[in-house]
This record gives sequence, C-alpha cells and structure tokens, in this order.
Amino acid sequence: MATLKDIKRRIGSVKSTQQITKAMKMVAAAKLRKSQERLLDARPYAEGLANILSHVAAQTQPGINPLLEEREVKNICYLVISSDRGLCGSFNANVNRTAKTEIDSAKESKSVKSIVFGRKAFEFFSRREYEIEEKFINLFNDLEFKHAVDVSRLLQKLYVERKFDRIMIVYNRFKSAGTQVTTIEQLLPVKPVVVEIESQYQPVDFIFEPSAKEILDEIIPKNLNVQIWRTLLESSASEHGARMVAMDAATENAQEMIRGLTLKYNKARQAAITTEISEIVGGAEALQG
Amino acid sequence: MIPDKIKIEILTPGKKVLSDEVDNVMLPGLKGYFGVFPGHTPFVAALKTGEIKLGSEKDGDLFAAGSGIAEVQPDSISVLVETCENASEVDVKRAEAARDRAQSRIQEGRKSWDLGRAEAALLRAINRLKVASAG
Repeated sequence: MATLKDIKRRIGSVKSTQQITKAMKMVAAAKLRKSQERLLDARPYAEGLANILSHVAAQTQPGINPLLEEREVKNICYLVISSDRGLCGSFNANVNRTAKTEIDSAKESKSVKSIVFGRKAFEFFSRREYEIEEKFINLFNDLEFKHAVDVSRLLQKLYVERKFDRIMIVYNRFKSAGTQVTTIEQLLPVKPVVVEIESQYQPVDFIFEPSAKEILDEIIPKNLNVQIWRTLLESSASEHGARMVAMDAATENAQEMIRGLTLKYNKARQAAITTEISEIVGGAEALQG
Repeated sequence: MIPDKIKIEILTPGKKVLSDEVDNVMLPGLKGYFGVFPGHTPFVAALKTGEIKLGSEKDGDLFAAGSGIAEVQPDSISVLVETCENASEVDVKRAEAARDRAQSRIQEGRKSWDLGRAEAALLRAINRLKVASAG
C-alpha cells in the first residue's frame, strides 16, 4: 500500500500540474480574444474586395486572368494549416488526418504535394515521408499580413508556372471558442464568385480605370492574399479556442484526481491512527491482565 | 438628386482605418491623382502608392496609402489599400529606416523579384515621409 508520504507527494505534483494547465487556459483565453478581434478587423476589407471582384468579374470574360484559368488536373497541391504548438486537444490531429485522407485519395490518380504552414503539420507529414514543396513554421507567434502575402505569392508563382493545376487549402475554421470545423477549400484556380449586389446602382454602369483586365490583375492576387490571411487568422483563433477547452478539461481532471487522492490520503491516515489506538489499547490491556 | 456629402470608407487588411462623410476626396490613381465629388458615376480604379486627401469644412485630412483599389458609387467610396495611415500617425523613424534599407538593397541589385519589392518598399517609405512632413 502507498504510504502517507507517497500520496502527499502525488497530490503535490498533481497540484503543480494543475497550476500550469490553469495558467495555460487563461493565456489561451487572452490570445483567443486577440485573434478573434483580428479576425473581425480583417473582415470588412475581405468583404469589400470580394464585392468589387464580383462587380468586375460580372463584366469580363473568364480566362482573362491566368489565375482564373481551369486546366486538366494532373498535379495538386494541398496547403495544410496547423499550429506550431501542441497541447490543444485534437486541433492538429483533425486537420492533419483530414489532409492525409484527401492527399491519399488524390494520390491514386494524380501527383500530389503539400505546403505546410505550422510546425505540427510539418512534423506530421515529414515523419510520414510525404513530399513537401515548402514549409512555413514558427510564424504563429507574431503572425502578420506579410506572411499571408508570402504564401500567396508562392502559390501564384507555382500556379502560373504550371507546377500545379489546382491548389487546395485545409484548415480549421473558427466557429466558436469551443467548436472548430475542419474545412477544405479551393484556392486556385480562383472560382468565379457570385456575390449579391446590394447596391441600388446597376453594376453595368461601372467605368474602369485603367481597363477591367488591369483591375482584375490587381484584385485577384490581393483577394488571394486576403483569403489566405483570413484562413490563418481563423486557424489561429481556432487553435487558442481548442487549447482553452483542452486546458479547462485538464484542470478539471486534475481537480478530480486531487479529490480522489485526498480521500485516499485521509483514509490511510485514519487507518494509521486506528491501528495505533488499537495497539495502545491492546498493550494496556496486556499490562492489566 | 445629387447628395452634397459622400461617404468614405478606408479599409486595410488589418483594420478599418476610416469611416466618414466628406465633401470630396483626392485619390492616387495609377495614371495620376483624381478627385471624387458626390454624385460621381460608378467607377472602379486601381490606386498606386500615394496620398489620400479628404476635403471637408474642417482642415482636410491627409493619409499615406499603399497601392490598392477604389470603388466609387454616387454616394459612397470604398478604398481598399494595403496600408494606410493618417499623416499624424506616420512613424518617421521607421519610414526613414525602411527607405535606407530599400535604397541599399536596390544598389546591391539582387534578383529581379527582390528588386521589385525593394522598389515598392522605397516608394511607400518616401510617400510616408512626404505625407508626414506635409501633415
């Protein structure tokens, strides 16, 4: 049986673990709030751009921009967005597993490579010896718009050079602090967007300066930048949400464990006292007799 | 009827910089500056790095903006640019450092792709300094 001392030591170690998980939970909550704000701040720009893009696209022929061009799909690239750090529940496992299933099924008929954003995805796919075109790791701590632009430039270059005929993205979409949805979307070629036009003015009346084609050439890469930026922020907010929930559960489990151990400790203590008393009583009786 | 004010929104990927009503706006179009007054015909324009100037009864506000795009409607303008800050918010030291860094990179003359970026960075830095000194 465990001695009193042993149980006491275990209680101490569980308590200090609990302190860590509690602190991590609070840090995650603070970071979650920050990344949620960034997500909200990024939204008007993204919506505005999508809006203009739909106005312009409504008046131009498809195929006017190389990033719109549909080709026969032989080479696919998957951009997988994970986190850099662990201890966030099934966050990384979800996105990695979904991406792996997709890649494996695509591999049967096409050549597939991946670009990983986040250390966890890099470790997952490099350990399994998947072909990795490029990696972006340890950026989530100071995530900036220019990181999204870097990724976007690379993707555009790869697409225009015909290295890939389709580029997909796999990431965790932020639904609420407790819920993330693993999502797969097509980045390139750009799918023609249909946005309802809420304005009272007809889009036909637009004048373009310079031409519609040049405007399109401007907007499409910018729209891609913003789309990638949005997914990075979504993923980052999801990560902190997942970590908060995981650390909350861990803190609760630790509490449960402490309760059990305290009970065990008290029982053992009681047993020791009872034994002691009965020994004393037994000794006294022996002396009397 | 032509409204006498025009709504303007300036948006960057990071945040909404401005949402206001003004008398007129001057924007840096690819082919030169142009002004927009209320009642302008619907219009989409690409913007280059430059100044955005708002006209209102108060002193007109001045902004340093990176390249982007503007959508003009008779009663509103949406300006979507990479970066934008008010003349009073420009970080002069940072802009000077960026200018010097870009200049030395251009002189080193590395790969063409880098050169394009350095040139764009140089333009942005010069624009910021110009706006800061005018504002």
